[in-house]
Amino acid sequence: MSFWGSSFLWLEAVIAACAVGAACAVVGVYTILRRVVFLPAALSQVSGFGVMLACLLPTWFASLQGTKLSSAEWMASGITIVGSLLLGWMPEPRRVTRDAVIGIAFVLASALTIIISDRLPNDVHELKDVLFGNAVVVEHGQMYVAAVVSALVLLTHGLMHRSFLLTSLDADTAGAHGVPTRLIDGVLFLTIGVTIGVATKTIGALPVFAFSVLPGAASLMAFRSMKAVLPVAAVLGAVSAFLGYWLSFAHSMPTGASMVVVAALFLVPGAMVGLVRRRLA
Amino acid sequence: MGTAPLVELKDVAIGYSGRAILDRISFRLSQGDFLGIVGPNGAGKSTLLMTLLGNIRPVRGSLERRPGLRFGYVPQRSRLDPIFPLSVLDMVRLGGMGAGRFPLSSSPRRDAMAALEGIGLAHLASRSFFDLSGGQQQRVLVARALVRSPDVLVLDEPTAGMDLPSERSLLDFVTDLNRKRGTAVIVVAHAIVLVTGRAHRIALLNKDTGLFAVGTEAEIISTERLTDLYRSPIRVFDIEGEKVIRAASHGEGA
Repeated sequence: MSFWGSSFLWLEAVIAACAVGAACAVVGVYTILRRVVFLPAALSQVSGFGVMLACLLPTWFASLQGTKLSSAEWMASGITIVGSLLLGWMPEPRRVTRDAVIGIAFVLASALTIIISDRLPNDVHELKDVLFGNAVVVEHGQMYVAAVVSALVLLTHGLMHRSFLLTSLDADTAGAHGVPTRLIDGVLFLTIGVTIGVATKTIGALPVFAFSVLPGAASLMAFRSMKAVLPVAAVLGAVSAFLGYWLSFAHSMPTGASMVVVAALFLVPGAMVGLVRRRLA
Repeated sequence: MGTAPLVELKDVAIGYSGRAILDRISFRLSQGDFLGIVGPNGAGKSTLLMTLLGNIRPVRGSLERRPGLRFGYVPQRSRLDPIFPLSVLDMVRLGGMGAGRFPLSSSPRRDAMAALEGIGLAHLASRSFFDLSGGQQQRVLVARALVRSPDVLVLDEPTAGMDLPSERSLLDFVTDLNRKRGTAVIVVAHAIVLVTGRAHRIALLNKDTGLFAVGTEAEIISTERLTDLYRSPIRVFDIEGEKVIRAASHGEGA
């Protein structure tokens, strides 16, 4: 069966992957610029921890069965947003770097996820999906969630990119000029948390981290203006998701890993465009 | 000047997290003033500056700003991360964001170009900001602060890493702006010679010695005070009415 002829098999998964690929790439530009590149990786683990917690809580508290707290999506999204705000929004720690705190969150969330999954043998398959990615099949509802959340995140970044840029580049000047820096930073890290939480549930941790780093890095290497960097990163994220899926389908390769490899390939033209632009400048 | 002050501090204590590092700070800044804030590294200059700008709250005391007061802030160049992809024009347009404008909007292109023309760098508008020389970057940051027509222009160590001609050119530009437009100016520096002959008043501070003193150049500059400020022997000579400052060797004493 040809790739296009079997679109009924993959259409929803590809739409969801392209949507979260674009959103991850845009929020990823800011994690690179703010030098918290491992934040999405830590948040993916935190999201996985949320899924496991949602599975565990009803076994402890029977009254939670069937409630929002026992919903993996709600728990993962809620915990990821809280994690994003805590890790990104908090003032820079004095004794350790922000990166160190992100590292602590990463290992702690990973360890707790493994411990909880050990108590839930029936849910190990879902844990594997969360940790290693399974963008092969995406449920109808999850596709809508991914598409709507990604659209909202992209819209927010389209409207607020100058605010995010100024507070990320120069918070002192922003504050001196009367810009509500804490509020704008809060919105930025909220969009990062929401994006990573939904994307991890949709395509898995590995491609989410890749889409949060590679398209943004390729675009930043190629261009010296945010007006170009953000849309190009979004397009690269979406295209990487699509081509990765196609590669996986055509050559029977793991889907998440294929997406990562395609996204990484865009670093080459990114570097070349940047080189040519510097030569011509 | 006889007008209502733009900013007035009365018995203010500055610091972080409720812990004061320097106390009993009082002064006022009016339209047309030029204030130099001078102290060695780690003296508390940046803390005072951030307090003045409203980025941190005073630990104690009263700090009043005229309603609707607009600051134009020029940060230390070294605090800007060069990985940010910004053209010169983009950088200047960011200056227009702030209170009174919805934070989503930046300065119109024509205002940013006018500010760049004002500092003679309009021809570099499309260049990458971080590809410019240190002196050019500093002038662009001044344009960014001016694009919002500030009441007070605040420059934090504006000449750090600049050669002498660039340093003089920048300070002459700021001095002209103060004299011709009446824009109040605050320059923060660790070297007092940057503000002598330009500032109407100079504030000396050092949190380690508890020193805070403000006055005119004639009132404030003395061998004892500068030696206390820098905790190193400094000698001040009066030659034909002009103060000459020289770092003395430890053997010379103050």
